[in-house]
Amino acid sequence: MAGWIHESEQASRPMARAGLDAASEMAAAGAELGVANTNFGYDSPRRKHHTLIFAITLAAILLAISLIVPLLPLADPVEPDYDRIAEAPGFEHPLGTDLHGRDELSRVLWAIRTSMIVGVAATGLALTAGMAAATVAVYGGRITDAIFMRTADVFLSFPVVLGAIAIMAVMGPGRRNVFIAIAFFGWPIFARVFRSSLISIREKTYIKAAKVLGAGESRIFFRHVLPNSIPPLISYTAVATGGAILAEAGLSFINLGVQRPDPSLGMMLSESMGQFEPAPWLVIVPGIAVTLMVLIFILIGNSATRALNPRIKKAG
Amino acid sequence: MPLEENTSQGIQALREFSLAIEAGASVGIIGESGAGKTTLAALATGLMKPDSGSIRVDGEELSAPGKTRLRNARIIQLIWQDTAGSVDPRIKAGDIIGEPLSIHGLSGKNEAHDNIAGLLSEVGLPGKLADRYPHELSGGELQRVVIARALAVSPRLLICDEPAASLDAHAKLQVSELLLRLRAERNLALMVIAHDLTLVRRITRELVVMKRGAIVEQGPTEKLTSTPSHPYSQLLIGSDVSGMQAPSPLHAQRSL
Repeated sequence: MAGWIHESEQASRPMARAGLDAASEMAAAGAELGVANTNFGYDSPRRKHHTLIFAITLAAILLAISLIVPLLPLADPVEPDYDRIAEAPGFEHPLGTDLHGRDELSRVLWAIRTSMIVGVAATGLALTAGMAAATVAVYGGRITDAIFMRTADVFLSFPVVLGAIAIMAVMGPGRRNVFIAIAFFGWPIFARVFRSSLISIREKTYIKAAKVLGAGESRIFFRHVLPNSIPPLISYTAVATGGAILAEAGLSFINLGVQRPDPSLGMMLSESMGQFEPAPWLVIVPGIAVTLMVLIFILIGNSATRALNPRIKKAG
Repeated sequence: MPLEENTSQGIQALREFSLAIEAGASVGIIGESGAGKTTLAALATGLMKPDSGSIRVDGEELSAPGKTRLRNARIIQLIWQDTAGSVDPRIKAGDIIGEPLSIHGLSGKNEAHDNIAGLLSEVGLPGKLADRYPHELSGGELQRVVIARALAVSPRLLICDEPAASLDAHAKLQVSELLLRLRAERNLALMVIAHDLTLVRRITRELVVMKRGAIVEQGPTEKLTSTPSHPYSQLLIGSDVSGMQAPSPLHAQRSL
């Protein structure tokens, strides 16, 4: 009976409501007076999510580029041309050539493709596995919960990159194994976040209200628990995608990821070590690419938190 | 419609509690915090099971095996004290009211819209509110939406747990008028759990004073509020004469 109504929630709600009531009353008053704009400037739908829309647009462009790279009229990213080693950016090679005379633009676009595919797919797999584990843990009873969550704790005690290195050492380097390694060590955080989300939503008064209305368990889960438990994950998923891209770059940097001669941002950075003075584009181009990709996903994560909350949607 | 409860074991939130509510009756329950009022609502709606004793409707046990949750939902409904918390923040008002209709298969796809509009107008709300999210509604509007949701299953007893706790004086008056009208029009029995004596006086004909899970005094609201006989009732009612809140448990304990 202690859990029936949450004390803290009760205490905080009336205050929040009071503020909202005041706002809606003001809005109603404005409407009666025939005032056209009653949102007082902070509810403009255009301003509302502009950061999020901007970041998602950039991510969509990145994804589009990585999907159409094979169709673009680019120079071969793999075939060396020893007559044109480390050429500065120019008409024929807009971003210059690398130490093997390969077109830097072509290589960086192919590398972005690899990063995006590995980052998105690994995060997607980790997310799916984490959500499934959390759902089973929460609904499977105390013992199942303990087994799943202690397993997650064991995984969490490894840093993702370190754990991935261990896996790569066992399974051997390569793009497919990078993806598996990142997902393998990525799922526990999703499981943790989703589990706490599920648990807190399950205790909400509106879940009990649905029970009193006669709703069955599956209806309650799919209609109320799931939709309200996912939003906290969305921001985290975006940030984790950035993290996965960084992890792929890191593993490739130490030569455990994508193998030569295929291009990858981490490998391009490691190959250009010591070349900053003679050929700065070899450092700057992949460096900017990886930084921008990670930043875009972090930006999505941060702005999504605000946009997804119906309560701060208004003031966003 | 007799409704009866007896719990008498362990740490008791309710003990030797027996209450019968007739169809269309209106019963107020008052008592300090922790008197077991909320437990009573949880038991009646099937969220908790009594350790012993029973809850019966027309002589039939509510917790009898079968599709209890579905069956009980259509008999007893609850208006939650935490109104804002009792609705899913991601679901629009119209769909909130439509949910019980779809759970119980009370209206087909085409009728649902009309039924929702009908329920909205029954609680005195314009149909356009159906497209609003809970946070876009005022406290009074949301309270009506929640009442409409409960009415969707045509319950026979509506339990209102502090129905006006978070409302201003005007909305409070409107909600109590609405409840009175619903009782008359639908022959709906009301059980109003409240601290607010003014509200209880306005809505209910019978009054039950509870203390630590037991009934202290019971009788017609009018008589009990004007001449309470038990010292505890006198204290509760006396302290509220000027519309003040009921005494805090600490204060009540010291004074007795």
